[in-house]
Amino acid sequence: MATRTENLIVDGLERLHITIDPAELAPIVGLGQTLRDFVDVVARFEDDDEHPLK
Amino acid sequence: MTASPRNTASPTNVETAALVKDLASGATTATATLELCLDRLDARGDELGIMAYRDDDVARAAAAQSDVRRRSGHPLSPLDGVPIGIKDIIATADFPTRANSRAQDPHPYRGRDAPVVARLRAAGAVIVGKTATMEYAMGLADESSGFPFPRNPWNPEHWTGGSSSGSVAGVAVGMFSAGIGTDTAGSIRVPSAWCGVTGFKPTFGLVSAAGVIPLAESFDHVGPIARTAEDCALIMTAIADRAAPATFAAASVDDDPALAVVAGLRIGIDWSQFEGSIDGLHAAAEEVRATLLALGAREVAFSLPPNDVTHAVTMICLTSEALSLHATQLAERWELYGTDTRWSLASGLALTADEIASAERARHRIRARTIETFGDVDIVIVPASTMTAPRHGEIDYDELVSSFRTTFWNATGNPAVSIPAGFTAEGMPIGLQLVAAHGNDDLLLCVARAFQSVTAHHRRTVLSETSN
Repeated sequence: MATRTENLIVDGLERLHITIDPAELAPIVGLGQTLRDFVDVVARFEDDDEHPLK
Repeated sequence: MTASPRNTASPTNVETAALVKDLASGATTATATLELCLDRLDARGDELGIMAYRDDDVARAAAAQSDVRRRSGHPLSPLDGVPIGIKDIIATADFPTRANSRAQDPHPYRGRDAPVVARLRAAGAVIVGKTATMEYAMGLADESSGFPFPRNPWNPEHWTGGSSSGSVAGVAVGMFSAGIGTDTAGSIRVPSAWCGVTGFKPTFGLVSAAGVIPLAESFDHVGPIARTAEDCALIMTAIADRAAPATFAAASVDDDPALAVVAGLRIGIDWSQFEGSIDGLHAAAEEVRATLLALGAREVAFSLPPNDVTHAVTMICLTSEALSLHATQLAERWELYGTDTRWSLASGLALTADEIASAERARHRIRARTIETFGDVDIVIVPASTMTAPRHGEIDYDELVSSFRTTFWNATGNPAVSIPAGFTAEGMPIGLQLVAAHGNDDLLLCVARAFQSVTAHHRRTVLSETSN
């Protein structure tokens, strides 16, 4: 089953009218997943009122 | 009788401050200096992957015009005749600009010079050519790209770091006096640290980024790479925006105001930034700290935000900006991009608009907090990278990016300079980064110059250890 990351990237490629070799999707999704992990870090920061940056 | 190239002794080095004096005194000429640079480029330029484009006839004509001005007693500035390399993402009127990419229109900016190039020409500098970079100033070196492959002058089996690879390595080997680079996440400071030269990222906006092919415009900085902080300050005097002081005190050739500047300054080190660093980096930072304290600085408690949050925020903001800038061209020329570049750009599609906005909010909060912090400290000592230059074939992208202690300062826009600070047991350069408050560019360069005036790390060069 496709992950959220894969769905976001496939939808985005379609929106930009970019056609890729299917073999390219996995490395793009891998890099995209790293960014999704960063999104989680930022979300935790936003939710943490005691964070030293606040 | 005036000097001419024929009767002038050949220069033995092209370091900016020394060359400015020699050109002014007639000890050398622009033509003789350029010929030395071109000889060095002929000898090792291809091996080290320095130049993206050269037209020696154009450079020789510029040098000859400079010599005419010198002989007539009307140089355009102290930099008249100084040879400079320009990173190949910065537009020049006479040379193509290809950004190391088959996808790039080679004549952006409507065929004009970028303002930073125009200012150098107005100062009489001789543009040697366009220096190699990574594709669109991102990603890793790609030997199959058909573009120059960057090799570290200290050991060609190692990478230079990127993306201002040609500008940095060319300075390290004396192929030009200074290079102009760009820095979106550390692209001036990391390769400078890994190649043993001084690289300066000015306050955001102090040097115009117009005419520079953008990677992420709110992160992109333009700045000089040279042997010393004094050399960088000389270049800054020519290229800084008019809002800057007309001259940089750190560029004073006739006297050295730097040592007196350090007395009373507040310096801070957050040792957590050195966790996981290679052997030698901690000791190098101790030496910088001790040297500045001996010159009269005092140490204050200081800490930076945790790396996990700042790294996440900057990577989200930077990647989304880069994708936005390239989206149209990606759709039109996907196959012409290198795979690493197009995959990295397309990965930004995994981010939603809300998530990008959230990261931007966090970035503004971090920047505001950093401005507050610099109310209590003047100079911060941090690594440029916790690594030294990795070997080709042993480069782990995630490890590489997480080693950078530079990207944070692109997000905040503070001025930062990477200075030579020693060598590993294997003989690879170690660099350290000094950072100051927004607008304190001259102070920062004065402090770096003060350190270099009482230490010798920057004097150990590739040229001093080889016959050429």
